[in-house]
Amino acid sequence: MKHWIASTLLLATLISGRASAEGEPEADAWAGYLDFAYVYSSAEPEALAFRLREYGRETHMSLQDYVTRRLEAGAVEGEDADEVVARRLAIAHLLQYLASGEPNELEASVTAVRKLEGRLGRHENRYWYYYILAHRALEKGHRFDFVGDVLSLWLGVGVPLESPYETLETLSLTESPNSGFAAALPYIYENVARLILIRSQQMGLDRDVDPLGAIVRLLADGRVGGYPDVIPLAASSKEYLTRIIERLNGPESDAGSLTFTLALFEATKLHDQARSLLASEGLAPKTIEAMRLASGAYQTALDRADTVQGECAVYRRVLRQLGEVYAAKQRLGVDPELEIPFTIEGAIEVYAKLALAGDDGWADLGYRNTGRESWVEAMRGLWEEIQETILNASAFYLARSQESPATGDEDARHAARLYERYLSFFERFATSERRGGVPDSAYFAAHEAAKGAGDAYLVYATRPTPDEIELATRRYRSALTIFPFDRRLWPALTGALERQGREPEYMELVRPVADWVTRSRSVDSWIAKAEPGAESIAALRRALSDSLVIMYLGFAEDEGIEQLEESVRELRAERAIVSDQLAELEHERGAEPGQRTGVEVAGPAAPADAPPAAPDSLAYADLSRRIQETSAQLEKLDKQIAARSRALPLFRATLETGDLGSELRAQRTHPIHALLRRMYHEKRS
Amino acid sequence: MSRRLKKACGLLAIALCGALFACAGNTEFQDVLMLEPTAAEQSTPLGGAALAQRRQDMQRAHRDMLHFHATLESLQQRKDRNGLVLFSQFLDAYMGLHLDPLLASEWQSRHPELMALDANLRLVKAEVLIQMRSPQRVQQVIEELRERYAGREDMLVEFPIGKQGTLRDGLRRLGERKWRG
Repeated sequence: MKHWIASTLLLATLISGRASAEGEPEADAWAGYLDFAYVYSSAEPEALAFRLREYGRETHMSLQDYVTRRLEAGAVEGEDADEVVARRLAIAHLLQYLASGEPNELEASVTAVRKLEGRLGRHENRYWYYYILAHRALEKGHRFDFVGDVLSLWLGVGVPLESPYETLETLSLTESPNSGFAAALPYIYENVARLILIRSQQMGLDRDVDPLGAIVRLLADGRVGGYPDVIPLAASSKEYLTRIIERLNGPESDAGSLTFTLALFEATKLHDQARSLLASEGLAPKTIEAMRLASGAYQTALDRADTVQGECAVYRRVLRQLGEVYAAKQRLGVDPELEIPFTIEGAIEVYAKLALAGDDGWADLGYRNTGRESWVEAMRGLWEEIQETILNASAFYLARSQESPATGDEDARHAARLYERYLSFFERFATSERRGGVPDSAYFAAHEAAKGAGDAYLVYATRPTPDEIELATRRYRSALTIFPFDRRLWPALTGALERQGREPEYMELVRPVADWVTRSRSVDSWIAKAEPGAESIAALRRALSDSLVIMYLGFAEDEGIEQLEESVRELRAERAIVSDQLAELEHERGAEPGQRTGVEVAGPAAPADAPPAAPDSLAYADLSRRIQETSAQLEKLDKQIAARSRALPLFRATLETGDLGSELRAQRTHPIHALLRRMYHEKRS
Repeated sequence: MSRRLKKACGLLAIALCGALFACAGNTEFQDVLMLEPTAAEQSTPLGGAALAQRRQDMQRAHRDMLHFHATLESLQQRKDRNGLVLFSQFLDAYMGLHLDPLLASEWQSRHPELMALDANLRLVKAEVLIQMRSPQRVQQVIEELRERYAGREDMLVEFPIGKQGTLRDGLRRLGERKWRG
């Protein structure tokens, strides 16, 4: 609005032109300022008050004095004096009302403009007449009157002036003093746009303005911002109007309702303010108040929504706010009282309405004009907000469970319940035929929820019941099934089994998961096509094809790899000793060194003077038994060395794959989400 | 209908009267233009700048009618009865004061530069009238289109809205849909 000052120069040109054309004395400059008030009447109250004071200083007479001494005193003469005085008086009072907010000024303006009712044939009169009545309707909260006044203004002034204005523009006569009120058309567009989009909202008009959606669409169609030589783009409301029209006609609409669009836009602005305060001041009382205002505005938008499209648009945004609140509480370690009147259950209900409508019913939900794609996108967007809110809220409760021993168990179980809610939501919609509205990231989120539920019972709850431990074990296995490339989950599962004394069941539980990964066509194709992350996935798949690596994944600590490799060196050293012992024993018995399979290094030669034992003696039998035992020991060592030598590099490779889970958690658009989706449905099929 | 709504409708009616008498009693330039013969009174084809102006007016009216149609559809979809009443009043006034005079001339339905635009404008008007649940007026538009474009039913028009097709198909479609809304 500050930019309206930029129009001062133009205004001065217009006024001087008109004054000289009408032969008015310079002293009556107020007449010019009032006649061209359409140029600046939409300025913000402070800017307008400043401007009126400046005009008063220039003319050595305040507007109020001008009204009293010239207009009300009947000092204006001429053929149309009554009409001119009535119009200028109405405008003067309107300007004073707009600058001060004083309702009496508006009433005085209405009284004055009513005197023009017999002279509405003149566009200028008609414009001010409806413009002032529209302001009065806003002041009184008469929404239907407001809509009627604006439509009348458009019909009676906007439409008839468009063709003449184009003619004037073609002839470059728009700035001619004799061009009449047609030259005001760009300002009329601007003023009507600001009246509908800004003023109405400032005055709290939050319902039943939908017929004005037509006028907003017309204004956006090359009218506002269409005359940059008259109103510079920076000074026009084009950018604001464009954003509104995008919302009005876009997927975040309520079947094209202007009321809803303005309400949601207002809520979004308040949300942005709250977000900015959250970033700068944390969860301070000011931030809490801003959040409360924003959620109240979202509630208003939800109340105005007539279609599921509108409800979905509100829930998508308000869930983001809810998620931000939980994330901030967890990050900042504070838990202030903040009531947000929206629930995840409400959002899930809206999702259900969207999903169950299916291909035959989506258009009736409000997406008729925006198309099927926007319906699908809306479902996916809402799902992602639901999943993020649940994950953020659960993480908050898990973190809080560690801070307060008194309520820790309760918080951990609350987190588990939230994770379970997501899993049942996932089960209901991701496994149905109508899963087009399920985003790719939902599958990894299901993994996170299943793992989180297991953690809630086994890591965070202090005294889980046997049933809870069993449930946690199942959740870990589910999590592993959805995303088997999470290395940290394998030891978590063994930990859960250990708490039940069921460690031996580990292999039985995980083997099918590992086998399925190695057989999966989706995984195979992903690796073959060298899709993103293929290298890591290939390393993990190779590892899962080896039982020993699976055991390592479940039982070995990541940081224990060095010890495991050291153990291979130790085994080799031990083998060398055993091998020497065996060679010595065989020599003692009379066999040639190196005769036995598997003996790599011959032992030292037996003393030449030692007599060989007789084959039927007890000593010979004992020697044979010792050779047999040592051979068996050597064979075992060979097997261990061979197995570990094969498995450890594979295990080490899994440690070097990087944390795929963290990447997927941070990037909901990561390509591997698509792989998880394919794997999930491949397994189910 | 609430009192306020009635009042708003009354204001629209005042606007209608005001606009009807718009040409009386003023000397401004734009009103001098309005004192030129209206479209309905013109019996001879326009040319040059006047033709360009007419094309521009018709193009603008066509775009405006599409926006009105979108708004009307939105009000219908949300079953906003008050909004529909108010907006229908406005549309009646708009069509009576502005659109119908623009479509009145016979010659523009035959003029090679304007005939497609003229047909498109009539079709979108019919579509708006369907939304306004005014089948008799839709029928009038259909009959007028048949009369004016007799023998040219294969011409390409922008109908249904957002698509293209022949005038014949458009007329058939209008005939089928006129009872809806």
